Amino acid sequence: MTAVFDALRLIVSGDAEVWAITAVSLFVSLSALLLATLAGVPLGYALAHARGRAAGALSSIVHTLTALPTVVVGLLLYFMLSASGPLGWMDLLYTRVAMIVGQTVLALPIVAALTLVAVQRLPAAAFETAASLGLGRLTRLRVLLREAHAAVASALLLAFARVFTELGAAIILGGNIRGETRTLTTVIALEHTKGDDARALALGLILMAIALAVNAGVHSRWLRKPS
Amino acid sequence: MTTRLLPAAAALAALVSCAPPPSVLRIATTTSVDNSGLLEAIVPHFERESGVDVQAIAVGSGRAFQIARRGDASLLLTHEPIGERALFDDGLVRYYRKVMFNRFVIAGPAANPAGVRASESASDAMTRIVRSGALFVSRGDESGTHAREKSLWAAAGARPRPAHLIETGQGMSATLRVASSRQGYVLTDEATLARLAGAVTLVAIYTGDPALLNTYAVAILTTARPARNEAADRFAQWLAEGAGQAHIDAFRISGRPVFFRWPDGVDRTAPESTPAGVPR
Repeated sequence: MTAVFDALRLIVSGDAEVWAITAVSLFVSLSALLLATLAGVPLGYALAHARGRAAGALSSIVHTLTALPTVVVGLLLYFMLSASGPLGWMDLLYTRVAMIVGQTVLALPIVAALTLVAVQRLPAAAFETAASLGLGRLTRLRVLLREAHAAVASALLLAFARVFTELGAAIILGGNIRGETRTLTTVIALEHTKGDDARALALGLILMAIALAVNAGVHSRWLRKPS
Repeated sequence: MTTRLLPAAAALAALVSCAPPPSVLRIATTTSVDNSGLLEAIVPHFERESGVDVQAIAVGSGRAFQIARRGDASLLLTHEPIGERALFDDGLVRYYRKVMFNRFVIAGPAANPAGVRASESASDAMTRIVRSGALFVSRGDESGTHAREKSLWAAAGARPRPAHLIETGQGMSATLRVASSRQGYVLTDEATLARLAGAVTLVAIYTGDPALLNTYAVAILTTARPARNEAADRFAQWLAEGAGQAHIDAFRISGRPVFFRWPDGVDRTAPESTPAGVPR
C-alpha cells in the first residue's frame, strides 16, 4: 500500500527525473515501433500475397522470430555494436539509438507476422473488389489494410507492449546511463538492486499504468467490437 | 541500383550522426561509487569546469574491465587490484592512478554467532565463520568485492560448505539485504553498508586488517577511442591528482566520510599499493 502512495507522490510531485525517464522510455519504444511498422506492415502484407516455398519458409521464420528472447537480442547486438565488433565504428553502443535498434528487432517479427495473419484472414471478396477496381499496388495495400485495420492495430499494440516493458535489450544496449539511456524498466532493476524496493515498485506502477492506458486507449478507439 | 542504395545510405548517415560527440565521456565504474551517491556528488563539479558530459555505466568490476577492454568506455574506475594488474600484464594500460580508499568490513548479525569480533586477522575471521557453520552470503558476481572475498578464502585455506554459502549473483545492496534477512555474515565495502544502515539489521563486526583495505583506481586503456582521450585524461587527472580529491574528501553519507583521498607520499601507480592506515 505504501508503494501505491509512493507512486502517487512520485507522479503528483512531478519528480523531474521520473518524467525524464518516462520520456526516454516512450521515445525509444515509439521510435522502435515506428520503424517496425514501416518495415513490418509491408513485409507482412507481401508475405500474405507471396506464393512458393521461399515465401512459406520466410513466413515460418517471421513467426518463429516473434519468440526471440529480449536478452539474446541485446547480447547479439552488443557484439555487433561494441567498439570491437563489426559495427563498432558507428559508436552506437550505450546510446538511445542502440536501444531503438534492439527494440525494432524485437517488434518487427510481431508486426510482420500478425499483419500477415490479418491480411490472410480478410474475406476473399475484399481482394476481389480491390482487384476489380483496377487499383494500383499501393492503393490496394491501403484499401486492404483499412479492411484489416483492427487486426493491424492489435499487432502494433502487442509489439509496443513487448518493447515498452522489456528489460534485457534495453539494459545491455543502453547501459542504464543516467539522463541518457535510463528507462523505466532499467531504473526499476537498478532501484531493486540498490535495495530501494519502494521506489522500484512505485516506478513499476507508473510503467504498468502507461502500458495499460495505451492499451485501453487504442482498444476503445480502434478495436471495440461493432455493436 | 543507386536509387535503392541512397535511402539506405541516408539511414546509415542518420544513425552515425546520432553517435555521441567527443565531449561525451563514457566511463565504466564499479557499482559502489555510483550506488553510494559519490559520482552524483562529485561529477557535476567536473562537468561544470570542463564542459564534458560524463556518462557512467555502473557494473561489477569484472564487467567494467570487459567493457573497457573492448573499447566501449574511455575510462575505468574500479577496486580490484588483481584484475587491474591483469590489464598491465596484457599491456593495455595507458594511464593508472590510485584515487581513494576505504575498507572492506566483515558484517554480520549483532549476536555474532561465530565469535568473529575477537579475530586476529581477516583470514582468521573467515576461518571462524567456516568452523562455526554460520551462514555466509557471497556476491558471487566477479565484482571487486567478490574477488577480495575469494582471496580471503584462499588466505584462510577454508571455504564454507555449500549448505552454509549463499551466492546472490547480485550487487552489494541486494546481497546485504539477503544477508540481513538470513542473518548471515557478508563481506562488504563500508560505503554501501553505511548507506543501507537503516534498511538492514547487520552490523560491522570485523575490520582493521590491512588485507581489508579497499583501494579504488582510475585507468585509461589503449583500447579507448582516440577521439575521447582528451576528455578521459582530464577527468582522470582531476579525479586522482586535481580538485576531485577535495570533493571525494568532502563526500558524506549520514555525516560520515566513507571514501578517503589517496594519501600523499604513497605510491599511486601500482595496483598492489595500499595506504598504511585508515583515518578514524
